[in-house]
Amino acid sequence: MKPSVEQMLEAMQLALREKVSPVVTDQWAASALRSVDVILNHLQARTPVEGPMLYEDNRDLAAVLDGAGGLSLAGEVSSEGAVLTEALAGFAADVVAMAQGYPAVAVLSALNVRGRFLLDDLLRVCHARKGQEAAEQLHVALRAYLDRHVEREQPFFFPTYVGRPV
Amino acid sequence: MINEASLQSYFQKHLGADTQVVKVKQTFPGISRQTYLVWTKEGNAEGSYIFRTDSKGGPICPVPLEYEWKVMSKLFKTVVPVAEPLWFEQAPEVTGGRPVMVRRMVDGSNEIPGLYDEGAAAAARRQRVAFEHAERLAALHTLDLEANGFTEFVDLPPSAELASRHDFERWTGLWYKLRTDPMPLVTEAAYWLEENLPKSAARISLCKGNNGMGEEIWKDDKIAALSDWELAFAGDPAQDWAMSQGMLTLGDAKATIAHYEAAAGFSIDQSSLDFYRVWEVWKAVPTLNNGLRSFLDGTDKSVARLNLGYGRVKLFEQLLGMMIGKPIDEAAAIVERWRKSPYRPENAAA
Repeated sequence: MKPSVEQMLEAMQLALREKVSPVVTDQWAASALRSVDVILNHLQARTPVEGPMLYEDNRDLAAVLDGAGGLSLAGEVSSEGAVLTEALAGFAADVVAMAQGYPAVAVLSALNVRGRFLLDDLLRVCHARKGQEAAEQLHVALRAYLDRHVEREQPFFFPTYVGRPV
Repeated sequence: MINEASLQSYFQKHLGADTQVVKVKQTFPGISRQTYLVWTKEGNAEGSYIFRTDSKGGPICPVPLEYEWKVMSKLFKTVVPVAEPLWFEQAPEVTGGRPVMVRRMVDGSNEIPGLYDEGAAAAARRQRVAFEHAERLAALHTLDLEANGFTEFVDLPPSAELASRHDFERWTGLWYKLRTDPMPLVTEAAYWLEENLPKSAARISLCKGNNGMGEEIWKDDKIAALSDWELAFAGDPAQDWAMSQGMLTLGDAKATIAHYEAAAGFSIDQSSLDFYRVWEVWKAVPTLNNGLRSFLDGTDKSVARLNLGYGRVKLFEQLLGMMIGKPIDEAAAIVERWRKSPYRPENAAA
């Protein structure tokens, strides 16, 4: 049996809190310690669940973005300059490929950023076409995804980053 | 490297060979810009200066230091109290090419000891301090922008009615240009805020941006200098009250605003104030996230920059998520509760 990453992070944090923090009087050093403590909290929340969370979020994203099929996107360009329909198709294909193996967290994360950029593009399309039924329906689905995404990420930042900022 | 020796050489170039730097102190925390207090002997005289430069990774706020210099240079000639700006250099050797602004040190402190004591006398004092701040803001907000030279370099809204839209477009433009992550919830929040933009403003004023407790230099309960002008802009004066860091809770908020209105000669619209309270939360996202860019490219790996540019930004995203779609007065109440219970948005939304 070996210690988990979270246990190791917790041990580091405990050492800093119990042995280092009480003897630090310099305000710059104390500030750096507070910042490190916050990052250790964040890592303890993020490390054990980030991979599965991103995997689930990417599948969710792919399903939501697929809903854009009801819109005519001819002529729409993604924020990264690609033809939007092609970018959406490429993302959907990569999410299918993701499920075939055991991707690294960095790969899942890069895919997630791509998908959320595309979602951002679709948000703008929906707002530009406000009042059109297909756009309104897609907008509801995009908003619902945003709520789910924020909820999934919440433990990474909340209450982790609550407290003195520096 | 900025230290006593390098600053000695630097100040000698500007003030003369008989200048001796006798003490240097860097102010805390200085994550966006670094500020050094510099004390000198110049022959038989003594001097004290503020040396301000960008941090290694550049400013967190996406506004160049030269802008702050220009604002202060114009303000120094007006009734608004600011420290005397002395010189600006775009890329001096002492900082390795980072811009530098030097101003004269003002006698005073950004803290007011005993201000939060208990008892009626302390409460009355807090109200006087709030009135003092209100009078200085009124003096700023009633400046003639053209006569005082601000129209030469400050981006002006086309009309008072379009002041909020002008600021909205400036900051959303910066967000789409500078963001390090798509954060579509922030985009969605922008659309929600756009639907609620104030349609009027009392006038187009020079606004300070961050102001209030911790920002200004105080001496004997009076403002000796309004300090830190990097977020100054031309817009709705109500916006400055939304950024007045503790001033409206220092005394009776209605009395403080009434005091301001009497001094300024115009009113602050409560619904505009509510909007700007929420808008300032949104604006914090591009402002802080900009600081993460130099962390990600390896220029500045400080943990404080990481936490502000990433963790705090994501925390604000969570706060925006709690507010999107709500009536603006309800959203403003959430922000107010969050401000009162510092950094605890989960309590604010409860």
